[in-house]
Amino acid sequence: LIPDPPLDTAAEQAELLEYLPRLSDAVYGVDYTIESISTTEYNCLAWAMSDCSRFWSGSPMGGYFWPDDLPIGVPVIGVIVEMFRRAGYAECGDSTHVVGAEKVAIYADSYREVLHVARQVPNGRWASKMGALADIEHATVELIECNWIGQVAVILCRPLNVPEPAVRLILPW
Amino acid sequence: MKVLDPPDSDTSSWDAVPADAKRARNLTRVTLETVPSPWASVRSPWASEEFVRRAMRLVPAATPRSPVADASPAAQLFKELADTWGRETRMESFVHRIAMHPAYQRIIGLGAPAVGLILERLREGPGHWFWALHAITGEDPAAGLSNLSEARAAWLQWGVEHGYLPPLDP
Repeated sequence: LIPDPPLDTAAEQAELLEYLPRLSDAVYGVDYTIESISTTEYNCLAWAMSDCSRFWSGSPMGGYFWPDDLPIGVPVIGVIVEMFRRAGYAECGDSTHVVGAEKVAIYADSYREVLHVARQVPNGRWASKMGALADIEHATVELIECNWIGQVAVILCRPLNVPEPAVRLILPW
Repeated sequence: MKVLDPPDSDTSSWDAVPADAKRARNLTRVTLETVPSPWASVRSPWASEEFVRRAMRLVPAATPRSPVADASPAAQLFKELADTWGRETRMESFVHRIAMHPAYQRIIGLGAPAVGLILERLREGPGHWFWALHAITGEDPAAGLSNLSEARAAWLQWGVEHGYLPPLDP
């Protein structure tokens, strides 16, 4: 195996800022940290499911992970919500931090196509895998909203004691 | 199925290369096969005369890869498209959006001459090339795999077995 290169925070940050204007906008707090190197091995949906060994995406060919009984076309909100419902989540009101609960935020465009998913970590911040770029932790769900990510459409939550889905957890760093 | 001959200008460029040079540089001639298209009435930028001319130029045989391959018009076009695609899909999170990028669709439209170039790019590093490889070749050596690294290895092995890539290092 070829070891991953060391994390170059400045380079990762520069690339993220090209796409995510709010990260440098004081109005939104500029409160985020870079947590990994860029990689294409997994995506935001996998990361929200605590799985960084696979790329969760509907596909007509091998290489990707997707539940067999869900449609592989455009991932609309209903399909992604169903995926999280099976992992013990239910819809809840907002993105505030609730001790004893974990939340996910589903981002979509105005046509209800899901573009991104973020997961709340126990300290109340949000963990996001940004496309092929780095994982980041951000203070609020609104901080990463943009044309690429869409806007928060649904917040789901579940009790923290729900076991993780049966997937391998391999940290990338 | 009808086999189209290249335009006269391209024919002369092929004929101008001595047979010995063709063998030495591992060149092969590309012809395009066409089938009636349901999209025949749709105006398509990658069906333009310019695109057909570029695709019909001399390209090196897929095996083994040589410096000539890097300089061929097909290789240059592929590089332009692949770089554009990679740059403009960095923030996409789902493979259908990654594969629907216009540059990626044009790479698929290059057809068989692009297979070796895609596999070479895939050997250099990971990337979402399986959709294009499957679309062009009809093969799926990664069927049943749900991990990108394993799928990449399966496609590279397929490339070796089909003569697109030199044998992998042990």
